[in-house]
Amino acid sequence: MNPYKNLPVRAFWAPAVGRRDKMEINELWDPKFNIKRRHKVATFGSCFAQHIGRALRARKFHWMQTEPAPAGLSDGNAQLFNYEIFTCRTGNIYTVSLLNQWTNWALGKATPPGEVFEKADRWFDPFRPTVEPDGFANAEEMCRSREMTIEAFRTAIEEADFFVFTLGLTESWFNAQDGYEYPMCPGTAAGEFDAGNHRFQNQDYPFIHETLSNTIELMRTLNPTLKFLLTVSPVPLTATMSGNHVLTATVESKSILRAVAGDIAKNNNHVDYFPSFEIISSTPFEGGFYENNKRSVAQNGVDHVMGNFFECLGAKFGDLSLPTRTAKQTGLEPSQTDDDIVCDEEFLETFAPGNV
Amino acid sequence: MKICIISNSHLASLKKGAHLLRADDSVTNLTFFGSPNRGIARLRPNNKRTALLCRNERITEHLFQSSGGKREITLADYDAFIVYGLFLTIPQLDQRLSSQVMQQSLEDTVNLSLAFRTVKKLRALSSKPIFCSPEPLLSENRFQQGHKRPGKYILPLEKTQALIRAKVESENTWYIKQPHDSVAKDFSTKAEFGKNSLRFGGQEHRERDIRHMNAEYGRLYLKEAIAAIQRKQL
Repeated sequence: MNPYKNLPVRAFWAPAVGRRDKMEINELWDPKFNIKRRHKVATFGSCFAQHIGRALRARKFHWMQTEPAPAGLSDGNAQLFNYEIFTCRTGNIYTVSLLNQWTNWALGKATPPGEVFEKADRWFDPFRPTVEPDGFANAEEMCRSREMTIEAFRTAIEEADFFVFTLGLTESWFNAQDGYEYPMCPGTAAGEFDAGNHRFQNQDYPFIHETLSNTIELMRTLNPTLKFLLTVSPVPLTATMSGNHVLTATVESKSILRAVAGDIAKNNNHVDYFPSFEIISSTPFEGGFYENNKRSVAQNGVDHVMGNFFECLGAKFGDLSLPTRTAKQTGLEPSQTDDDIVCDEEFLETFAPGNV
Repeated sequence: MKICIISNSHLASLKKGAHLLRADDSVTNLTFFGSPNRGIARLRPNNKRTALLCRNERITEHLFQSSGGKREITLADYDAFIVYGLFLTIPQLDQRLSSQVMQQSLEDTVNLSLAFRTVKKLRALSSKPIFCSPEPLLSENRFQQGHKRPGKYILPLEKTQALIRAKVESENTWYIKQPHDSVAKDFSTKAEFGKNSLRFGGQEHRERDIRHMNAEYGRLYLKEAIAAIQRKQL
């Protein structure tokens, strides 16, 4: 007799993974929370988080929109102006420290700095550099727009039942003088790089763990019943400042983020982890869920991830009305495809040697 | 002066309102063409490009009933056209929006409306004056049904109307706004104009309807619209 004898099948590699067709690998997630259609779900984070919101909406879950597109704006133009990408128009929030920054602004514990980026008589938000394709008419207009988003972010925290956050990066850029963080290195999407004032930081495990833990607790001071679902983006880095090969840097970065997310979920009743990262990137799936560039997640991958999400919820909580997953179900309306995914980080690719 | 009015379910209040016009207001011959919801979207030019008609029997019947016997809109029969309602609405826009977002919202509101698509069909066939009016603002009764009032940052109605007018009139069309006396605060139509509001077939709507107006509203609108058209000295 030994303790392994009573473990379920899914605890053993051979029957659960090795001897299975990859599309039949299941029971990957044991959800902590019964997320129902009536629950309000906010989504933020890196590029991959966009898939989650759309899939929720397609399956008639309540994906929150606290900064909806203005009345009359067409669907195509709404996306152009970055509406309905996340729960509000924060743009990509790649790091936990950016999440912390937005949370402090939303709770009034800090005010955004006055820095603006200006180019060709248009003004750009350093913290949402691509939110409007042509920038803003002036700095005041930019600030008013950001105020709307900060207000909407606060509403998301206040009113959500679940806050889904996709951790994306460890590599980050800060203003050396005043300590605030940029979502993109100045000089890439917008602004000008100043080596004397822009500081690179490849965030480590202790920093990320502490920052995310603090941010979660900060949000719960505003909404004590708020629950969190953490995921890690399976999308590799576009570029790295670490000095390492981008593949090595990617694995290190994702490993740290995965470890933090797992530990915080394990040690907090109000936090869960959903393994979208494993489903897309782990070896049994043989990279089959990536596009030819080995970086973008293909539609079949998105479908498989979200199929697992809803299947595991249904299996645990017995809601038979949830549709079962098929690899072919896109869950997307015809006008929305993965060509539409907004990924600021891909801007960095334009600076790769050999690119025009 | 012969005026052709094209609309959807909002036509009912105008048709009934026309009966309430005083004799001296009725110097104008009004012909109404309508089909509920988006039926008007199916109007197409005839081969000679002298009329708009529809091959769908049901919609053609709507045109026949609403006009009092005509199955197509023969453009030469009229001196001017009013395109009324047809999903052209006045949006509530947050003043904190960027100028680009605000402008694009207004452009899309007008361009994508069935009203404006109908204007373009007419303009492709005729150089006669075309007037365009939005749907009435929702009834102020909606707040009793739990609808939220506009937030503090919403651009005032007059400014939004001015922006819509500028867009419509940039496309060789005149804009006739909702009668001033019918407007309540908070982007609403006064409740009295929604009482006993009328369906396309002339019956009354349910009490909870907040979109459609009654015969008195129709009378008020037509009186002002006719005056506005006459001021253009047609």
